[in-house]
Amino acid sequence: MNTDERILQILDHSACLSKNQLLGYLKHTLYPEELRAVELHLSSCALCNDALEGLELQQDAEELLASMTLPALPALPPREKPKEKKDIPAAPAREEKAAAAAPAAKNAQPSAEPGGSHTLRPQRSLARPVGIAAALALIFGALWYFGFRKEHSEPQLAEKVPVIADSAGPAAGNSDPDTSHRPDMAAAEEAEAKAAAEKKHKDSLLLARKAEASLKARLDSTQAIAAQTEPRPLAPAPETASAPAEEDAAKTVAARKMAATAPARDDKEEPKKELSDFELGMQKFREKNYASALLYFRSAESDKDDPKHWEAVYYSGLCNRYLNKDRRARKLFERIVDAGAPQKKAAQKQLDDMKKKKDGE
Amino acid sequence: MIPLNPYSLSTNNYRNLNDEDLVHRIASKQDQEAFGTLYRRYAHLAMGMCLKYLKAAEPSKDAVQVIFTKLWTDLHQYQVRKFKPWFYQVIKNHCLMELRKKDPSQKIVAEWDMDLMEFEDSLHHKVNEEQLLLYLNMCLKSLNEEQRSCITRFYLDQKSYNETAALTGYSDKQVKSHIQNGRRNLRNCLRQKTS
Repeated sequence: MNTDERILQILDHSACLSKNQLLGYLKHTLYPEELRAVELHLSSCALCNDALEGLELQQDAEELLASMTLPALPALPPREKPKEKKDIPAAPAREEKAAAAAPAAKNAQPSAEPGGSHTLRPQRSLARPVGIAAALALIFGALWYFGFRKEHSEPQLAEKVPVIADSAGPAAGNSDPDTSHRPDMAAAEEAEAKAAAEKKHKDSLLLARKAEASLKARLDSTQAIAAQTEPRPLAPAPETASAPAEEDAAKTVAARKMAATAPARDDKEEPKKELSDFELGMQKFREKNYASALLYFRSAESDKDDPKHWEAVYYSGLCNRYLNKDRRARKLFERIVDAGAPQKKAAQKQLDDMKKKKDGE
Repeated sequence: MIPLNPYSLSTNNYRNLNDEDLVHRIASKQDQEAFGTLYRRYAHLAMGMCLKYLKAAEPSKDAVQVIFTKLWTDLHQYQVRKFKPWFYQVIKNHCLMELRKKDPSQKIVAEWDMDLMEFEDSLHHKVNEEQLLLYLNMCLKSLNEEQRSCITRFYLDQKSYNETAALTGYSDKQVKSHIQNGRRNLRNCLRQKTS
């Protein structure tokens, strides 16, 4: 350390002394390096100096400090909602179970506080009934969904058979003659199915919708089988479908049905997906709430394998810069430059800007 | 005992937050974990300060409890730009008030003597390092003999308080006092130069 650095120590100020440092200094048990750090701090901090003076007067300073306990915090009246209401770490909310348990936990907490006649967050009192209602709605929804599907899946299949038999006609040009009895069966089944469908159509609006869906499925299957048979020459006589062709067609229809229902389920679940720390950080960053953004970016940059790691480091640097923590910002930018990350140029530019600004002052 | 807050950050994150961030979280979100972190940082120092003024363990303990409880309940009413000097003044005022309660005839003058840090913070932004060094050296020369010798030994020769005392012939307390007064004078001198 040269003379200049030493003389600048006069203006340095470090974090206040910890309990152990204070006691170590009192008992003269500090190592020389630590003693130097403590004395340097003492020379600049009135709070630590006064604290040391006070504790020097006390014989049993260590026991006294050990006996100190955090005061029982009184419950506070609800205040206006802070702007960063959503400034909640994403981690606890990520798991759906945790999210479901959260309302109960939120509700239980204020009641655990002694004398807490008011809650810390007033809307929590509504959380439990809303949570229960949501859970019930989900359960009934699931019951209805599976129950309904099970109930109506059989008629649908029955309806499909004649469709397949009808539409598979052209495909059966080279089918074996044993299956020639099938048109009759298929016709009979179709008649039955149609009658059933018509009956249902009259029954209720819900069933009418279902019938529409089955009609659509018919069209689908027709198209599917037509597509399958397209390369082949059309058979002169309307022959029946072969057994494998029927199975294939049924599978195609079933697969289409599955495909149609699966994306619908996915669509429902997607909006619930939590934003990552980085995205939340960006959100805060755009709102110019740099202190909150910094917390998210720090969390995001903790995972070095994350593809957005360096981006998070860069934004941490920017946040620090906007918060006038130039030293930290510089360190972060230097890290990016040293590592040769993709943000290297931008980081270098920031460093240059900071240097210019500093020189300008 | 602090109940778990579902909105709290992990302990490490709190440790990384500076005093002002913690204060902000306490004031705006009533964050108990932030309060706990601040308590662990400053409770022992508050206790030491109260001991200095009140001279007894039990009243000091009570004072610390009252100060921290007030911090929890009233922090949102203040705009705390720099926590440390503000907190120092809060403790000092509370202790002086307690002393006055005991003996109303006693005249105690409260002084604000923590502006140093705020000044130093802004100082780095005002002048660059070379200028600062130049001014510091000039101001150092303008100090009186006791202060200059103590500051030179302590900062430039990197001696401990004890060694400085042995080298200069002053007592430990005198050395401390000379260093502190010397720093104060240096600060005033720098303030004049930079303004």
